[in-house]
Amino acid sequence: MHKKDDITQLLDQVAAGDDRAVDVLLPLLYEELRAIAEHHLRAERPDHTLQATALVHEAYLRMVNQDRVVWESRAHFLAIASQAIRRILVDAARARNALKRGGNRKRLLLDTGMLADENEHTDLVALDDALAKLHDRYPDKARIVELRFFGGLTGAEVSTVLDIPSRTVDRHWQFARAWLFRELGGQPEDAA
Amino acid sequence: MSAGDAERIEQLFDEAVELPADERESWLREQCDGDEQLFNEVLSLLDAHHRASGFLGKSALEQSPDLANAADPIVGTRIGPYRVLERIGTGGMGSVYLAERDDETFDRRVAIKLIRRGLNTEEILARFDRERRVLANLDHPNIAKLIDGGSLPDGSPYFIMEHVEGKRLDEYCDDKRLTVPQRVDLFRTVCDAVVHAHRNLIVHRDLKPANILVTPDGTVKLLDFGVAKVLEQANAETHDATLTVERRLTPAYASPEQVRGDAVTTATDVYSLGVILYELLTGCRPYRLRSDSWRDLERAICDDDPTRPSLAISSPTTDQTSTLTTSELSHLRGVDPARLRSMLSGDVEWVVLMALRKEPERRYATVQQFADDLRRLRESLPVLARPDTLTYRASRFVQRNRSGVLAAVVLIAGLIGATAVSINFAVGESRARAAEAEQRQAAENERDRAIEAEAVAQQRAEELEQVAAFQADQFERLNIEQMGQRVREATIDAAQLDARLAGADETQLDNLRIDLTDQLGGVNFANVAREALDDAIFEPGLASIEQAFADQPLVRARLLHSLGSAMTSVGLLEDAIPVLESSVALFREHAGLESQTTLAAMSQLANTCNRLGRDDQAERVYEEVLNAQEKLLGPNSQRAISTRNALGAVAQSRSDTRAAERHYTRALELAREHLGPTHDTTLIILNNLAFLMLDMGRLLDADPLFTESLETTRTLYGPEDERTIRRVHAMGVLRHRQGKADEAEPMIREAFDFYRATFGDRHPDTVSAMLELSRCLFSLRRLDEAETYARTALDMGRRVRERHHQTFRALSMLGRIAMTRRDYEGATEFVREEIDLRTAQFGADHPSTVTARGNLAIVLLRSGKLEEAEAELRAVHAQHVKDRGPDNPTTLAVLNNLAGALRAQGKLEEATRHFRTVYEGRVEYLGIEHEQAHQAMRYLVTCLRQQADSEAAFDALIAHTEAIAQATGVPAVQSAFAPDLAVLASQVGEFELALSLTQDLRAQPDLPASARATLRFVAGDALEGLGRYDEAEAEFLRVYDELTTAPNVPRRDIARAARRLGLFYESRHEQTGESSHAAEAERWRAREAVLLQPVPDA
Repeated sequence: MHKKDDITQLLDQVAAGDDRAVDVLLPLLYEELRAIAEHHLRAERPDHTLQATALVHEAYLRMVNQDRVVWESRAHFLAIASQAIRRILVDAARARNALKRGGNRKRLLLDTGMLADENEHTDLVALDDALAKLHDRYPDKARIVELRFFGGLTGAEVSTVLDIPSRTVDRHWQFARAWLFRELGGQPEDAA
Repeated sequence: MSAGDAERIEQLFDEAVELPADERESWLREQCDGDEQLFNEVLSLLDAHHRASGFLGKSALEQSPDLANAADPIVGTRIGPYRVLERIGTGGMGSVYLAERDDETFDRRVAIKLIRRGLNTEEILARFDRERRVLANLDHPNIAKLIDGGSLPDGSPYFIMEHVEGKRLDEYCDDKRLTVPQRVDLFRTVCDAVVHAHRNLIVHRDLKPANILVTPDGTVKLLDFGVAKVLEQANAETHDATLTVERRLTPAYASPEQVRGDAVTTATDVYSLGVILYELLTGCRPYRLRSDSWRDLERAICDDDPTRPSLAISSPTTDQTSTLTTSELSHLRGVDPARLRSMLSGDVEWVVLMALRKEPERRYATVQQFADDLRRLRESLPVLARPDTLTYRASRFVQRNRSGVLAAVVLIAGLIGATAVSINFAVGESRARAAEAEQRQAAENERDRAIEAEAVAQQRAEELEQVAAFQADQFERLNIEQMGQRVREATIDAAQLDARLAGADETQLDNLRIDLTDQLGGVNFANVAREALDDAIFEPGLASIEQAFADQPLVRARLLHSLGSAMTSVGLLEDAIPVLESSVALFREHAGLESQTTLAAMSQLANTCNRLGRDDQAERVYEEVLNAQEKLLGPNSQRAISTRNALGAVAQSRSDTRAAERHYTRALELAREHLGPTHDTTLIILNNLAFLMLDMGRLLDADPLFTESLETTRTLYGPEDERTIRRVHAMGVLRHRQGKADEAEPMIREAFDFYRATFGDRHPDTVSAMLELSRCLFSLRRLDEAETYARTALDMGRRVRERHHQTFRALSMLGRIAMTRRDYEGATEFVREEIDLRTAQFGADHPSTVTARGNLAIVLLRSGKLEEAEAELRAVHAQHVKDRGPDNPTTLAVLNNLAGALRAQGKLEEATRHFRTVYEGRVEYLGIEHEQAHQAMRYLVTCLRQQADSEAAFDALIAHTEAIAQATGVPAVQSAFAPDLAVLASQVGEFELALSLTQDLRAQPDLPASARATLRFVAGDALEGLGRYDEAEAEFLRVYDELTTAPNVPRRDIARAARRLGLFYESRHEQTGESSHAAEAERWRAREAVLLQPVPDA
């Protein structure tokens, strides 16, 4: 594993706008988060559900040199970590779907007029695809969904991380949610 | 689609969302200006938005199994013919996975147990293999079956078991609210499974509710033979001192021999089953612990006597392991507390306690025997189990504390000696007197004989009365807890003395004291003392009273009364009742109802009955006593008044609030007049009545009672006394309920600080005051502080147990805070959790669950889901009407919300009807000045105005303001309703009133431009109505001027002023026919049109 200072350095590069550093960091975070999660799995705490924020925080403490890091880097770390959690969960879901009979995963079927239930499990694979489409058209909004839904950040935290007013975050979130909801349930495959 | 399109879509969506739902579509069509594609795109997003409110409401990790599961390399792989779906459990050495068979023909789910990576040491492998062999030997419908086994490519073994989908035994029982007999029957099935294992020479050794699942069809399945032991056939017992090292046992269910590392036999499973049954029946753990440390628990397991099941449920709140009240526990078992108590006493109790005996050889010899006794119990046949004898108890006590026990026994004898002596004295004296009398009677002549005999009898009775009174007094002062404490201290002292005599030095003595204090910490000396009293004093006392005074019924009655009172004061309630009953029967027969002593004995009987929950009997007896006392002593006597108060208390504990109120009120009247306002009896009645009023929601009636109680208590005991603080607390609660949160806050804070300093952070009183404080801060809109306290209380509640009333209340508070912050997602989450927990605990129709559902309905209402809200509110309201009655404040609050939901949907007529009911109810219960009464009036008026029924609105409002004026002296014009009243007055033609209201109002400084404009409109209308046209014209013109010169006035509002002027001149023209008026009308209409034209943005 990389030394803390290397990671901190990479984060500084991301903060300075160097996107290649993201490509280096993402797999590192992916592995680290998986390792922490597996550690928790072994830690004999069967009823303990891992919270995304707690997990990310733990990874942050383990990977980043606290003395050196600047605030912008922390924001980037959270963003990349959210992305990593997205990949871990979606990869796992894809693997599981592939195993299930013929891979005929269930789409989120919503009749018109039916309200979404927050206790209903979202099909992560379908959501991942939809999120990619959203990213093509509205990259900012897709990022907010990633931070909130995968990274577990609150609206206020997203506002701090992205440095945009929380009113704007709420507006984007509202739009993105409607857009994704329609994408997943409304018109099948863009009504092409 | 271009980037520009995307932006346009977003912009239209953002703006449309802000509009009222029914205006969005038309607005959007206008904006799209024929661009169908754009229109459809945004409209479909709006539609999705409407439906998506719960979507992505929980983060990915909250809704997917968990990240650890996703990261588990086993999940998703294939083992034999099975695909691993998810990890469902992790144990000491292995993990259990849910897996599914691959081929379509066998769609069967199984559980696969694996050794955790890196743990395949020889020891673990051997143990794993043992479990597999154990399971292979068992074939029973109530034991999860072994299906197959094998090894993974890396050589580590696995085995495949029947997958059981079910609930933990204890949760199943509570969820289904099984009755005591049903619980016993289900438990017998568990015994069957264990019997099967024992027949195969397998001891489970880790029986606990978590290892016993019940499937939805009610089948019991025993799981996890991970620490099971195969007994050697020869001696059928085994030592396993290393057990606790390899795998931590679940200490709550471990037997004394397991804790000590002694030989483990089938009796070990008997013990664990005993603990499980104890919990299923009582909802409590068998031991009351000082702390939740393992050490305390282990000590309790080895040394403490389990609390008797029937007593465990009586005061579960003092028990750290149970968090439910007696009534909740009883509710979960489908009976009331008194019934549950009686179901759990007697044979059931002895059966459970027999399984829990410390020495394996004194328990049931086999699980079969245990199960058989349970069957006999169900068939009402005599059972094998018997209570421990005193001799046995004493010998065990001696074994534990050889050196100290002598002193302890001496001390007990000392404490109770006086009583024993007094009984002996009474017996001896009476015999001597009787002999003396006989001698004298023999010596005297016939004439004097009768007189003399009577005098002797009289004297004897007086002396005995003194003895008996002394005796009863002794017991009343007896504090059983304190007595136990002193026994404990004496035991330690005696041991020290013993050691000192044997030549121990100071350090050794110190160590000895520490060790002994530790060891004796878990012994419940109060129970020791109580049982010692029963066995050493009460039982022999009873026998000797019966014997010695066989022919002196009144003496016997007197002594039985004393004994019964004494038994009551040390907590032997059930044993006391027959004693008191025979005392009463004797008194009635031989002294009659007119005797004070008869009535005193009856009062004691009623009191004991009430404490045991036998309210009917208590009430019957008290009523008889009261009748007699009124006849004998008069209704104004202190005794009669006290009895009346006692009748009130009995009625209240039976939830008959009306009868309770009647009794208390009358008792208070009499007490005030004849005993004085500071008399103890008066204060007690005052408090009883005050809390009754508070419970009934009658705040107006409660107020003077609480005030008087607080002031008297403060005067009598000073401001720092706990009694005063508790009154302050009660006052705070009342003030808060009255809507005076600002006054309530310092009072509740004072109580909170006091409890915290006196009882500590985690004490129930502290936490409950913390929640009260949170509620108060919430009412003051200090949300951050309120949230901090509520979250702390939630943590405290959760630390005790998930389903705990503090958890429920904290969740409900947090829900309300989130809702106030318009965080509807957060609010929904809190409220849903509360509902789920309450439903699981008490069922969906329980009043407290229904209240929580009412809160959910409010969240729905606020977040605009009107129809759902309406349906839910109707259901909740109907249930409240049934549970609490139609006029109850809570019922009215729900009705108010229902009316709100109806109004928002335009169902105005029904809404009006409900608002009126709410208003009337609130005025009656809260008073005309209460903010909630004002609010109800506001809603009512708004609703009527929406229906254009100004007359009705005016009538309602004028009646309201007049009632306020009458109650408070505040004239209508100064009330907050004055502007509305002015508008309505002018609409219904009450022009003079409207005019005078507006003039006074306009005199107020700092009036916003829009309000001033409205008032001028009203004044203008009124003036016009009164025919004062010039003044009316001046008003309207001034409105227009003021609006055009004031900053930031919307053009729409200025247009309204222009329109009003146009109408004014038009009607003037119609009246006068003057062309100048027509011209003016024309001019203002034109100006209105200009003002209404859209203006390009500056």
